[in-house]
Amino acid sequence: MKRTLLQSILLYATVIVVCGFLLFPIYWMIITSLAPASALRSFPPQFWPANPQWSTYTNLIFNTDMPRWLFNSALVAIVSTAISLLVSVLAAYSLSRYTMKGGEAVGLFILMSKMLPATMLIIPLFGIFRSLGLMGSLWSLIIAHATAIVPFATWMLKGYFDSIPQELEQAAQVDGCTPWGALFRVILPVSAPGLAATALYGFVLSWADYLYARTFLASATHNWTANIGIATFKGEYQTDWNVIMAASLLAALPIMLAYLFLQRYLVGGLTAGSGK
Amino acid sequence: MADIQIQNLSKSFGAFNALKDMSLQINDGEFVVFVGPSGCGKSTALKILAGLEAASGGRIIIGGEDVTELAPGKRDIAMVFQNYALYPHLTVRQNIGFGLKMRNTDKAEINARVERAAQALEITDLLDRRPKALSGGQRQRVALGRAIVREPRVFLMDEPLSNLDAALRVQMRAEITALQRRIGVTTIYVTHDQTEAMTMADRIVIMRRGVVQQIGTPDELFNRPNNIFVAGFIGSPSMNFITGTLARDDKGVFIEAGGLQLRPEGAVAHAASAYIGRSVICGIRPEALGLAAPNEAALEVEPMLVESLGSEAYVHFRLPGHQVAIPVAGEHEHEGRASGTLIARLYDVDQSLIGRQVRLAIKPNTSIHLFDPATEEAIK
Repeated sequence: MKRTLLQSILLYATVIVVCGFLLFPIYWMIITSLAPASALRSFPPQFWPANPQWSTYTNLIFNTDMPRWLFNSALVAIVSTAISLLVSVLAAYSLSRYTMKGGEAVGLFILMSKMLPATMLIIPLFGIFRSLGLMGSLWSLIIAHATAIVPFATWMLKGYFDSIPQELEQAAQVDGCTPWGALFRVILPVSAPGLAATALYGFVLSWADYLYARTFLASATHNWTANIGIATFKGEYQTDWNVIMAASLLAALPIMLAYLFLQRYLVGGLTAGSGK
Repeated sequence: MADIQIQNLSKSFGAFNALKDMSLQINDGEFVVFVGPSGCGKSTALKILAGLEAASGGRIIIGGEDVTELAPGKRDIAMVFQNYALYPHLTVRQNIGFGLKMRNTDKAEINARVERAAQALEITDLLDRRPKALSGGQRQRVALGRAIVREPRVFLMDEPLSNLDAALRVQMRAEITALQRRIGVTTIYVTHDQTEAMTMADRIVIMRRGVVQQIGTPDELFNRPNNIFVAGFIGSPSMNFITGTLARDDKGVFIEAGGLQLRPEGAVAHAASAYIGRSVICGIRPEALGLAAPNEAALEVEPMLVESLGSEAYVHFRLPGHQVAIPVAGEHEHEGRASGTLIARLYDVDQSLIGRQVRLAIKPNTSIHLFDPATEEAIK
């Protein structure tokens, strides 16, 4: 159907307004990070600082622990995502392919655990990690994040596996694969978009966490993740908003890049199963 | 290549018996078709043969080796699936060579065999494409290529043509039959389409509700069905059934229907003598009916519908007082026939027959089939 000029104008206007709403906070973060601290509360506001302070970034990178915090965040996010994917793939595959007594109940139970608020799990997790001697260790965060990622990732992947015809692994088995071989040689490669979407979900969830990190790592300053580190820039009497914004942008950058590069897979992953 | 013995094979899903005590000997190089309506157990039987489903009882012996407990990959079989089941992430070449790769075949050998298979199926120019870039017919060829490249002992085919359009189906039907004859691999082919079964099979195994109804050549099943189900399932349009009382005169046994005496002959007539004076179901194939000559004894009927196929026409009519609800109706397609309606397959007729009196006679040398109404078994 061909659009009329008016429809085109309305469409583009809507797109511009929506994008404006979505992108304005990022734009504001960028100019705040570049403005000198003294100019932050000036009125009328400057929409591009006259004298961009790139030194905020260099200071952040070379004179604070920010690189270390980013590294810790990345380590935790990568390891917890990897562990979660391993568990979720196997759980989702068996829920999708094998019928067992109480299988559905197990599936619902897994999903239900996702409904529990994170704050409710903090106290039992705290107790467990303390008795295991994991308090302050990055492992505490990795395990805690995995408990949050696994339930949803399992359901996401189950939906994806459900959309893959069972004949594929049957064909692989007739061709000489074991059931494991069929999973790894056929089902997982075919599920690449679903795996990418799930991995990104897990990575973002772990990367964005503050609550668990603040609780389990509070005293282990060398293990702080980016989110706790950034919070320490907020002082009791004075807050350098330009530093906080610069640090936040640095922390958001990996996620933005990941979305940008995985976009093609993500769209495929999220629409998989919607049609042949 | 190998013969297959299926011994007392059964499969239950909880209380439901999908397959009951199936026994069958398939000779080396034979093309056997399992046919029956949906849910008759034919696909279950095939999956058990492939090792994709565990049997609840019985044994499968391929080439003298008991494979009942073996994994699918160890049975030296190849299978073609209804939806082709091509690996979407691999190219056609990798798809065809996958089974050989899994068996650690030498790379050069894989390439040579894939090329050979592709040439045989005329898909050489598609080897570097992925399945999503292929048409239905091309995908079907790739699926066949994946099966033949391994040179297995047995081919299993699960309704491989049902996703193709009608014209392509006829073409692929002939190609698969020719391919099987050429390479001579023992083949079991599952379909719900009796035309496929009739045109492709050396022998047909016709199944219903998990039970084998009859095993025989297409001609045997068509001419000497064991029961009403087989009689109704094989043949298109399916057999006409009418009910009547069996009588005898000096010329032999007969049923009187619509002013016509239907006289079974030979062994059927002999066996029918035990049913004199009793109600029986009589089966007449639509092609056994023709337009009667002026002085010939005939059924006087009034056609309700004429389906013209160009070269022939299916003339639908009723025979009040002799109608019988086809016992197998509803389990499979009866070519859209209304319950109790009879069909004559006539030539050189048109729609003008509708509403007129038409005289139909039984053609000479055609079989009249009789069935026991209680057991539905053929009287023969």
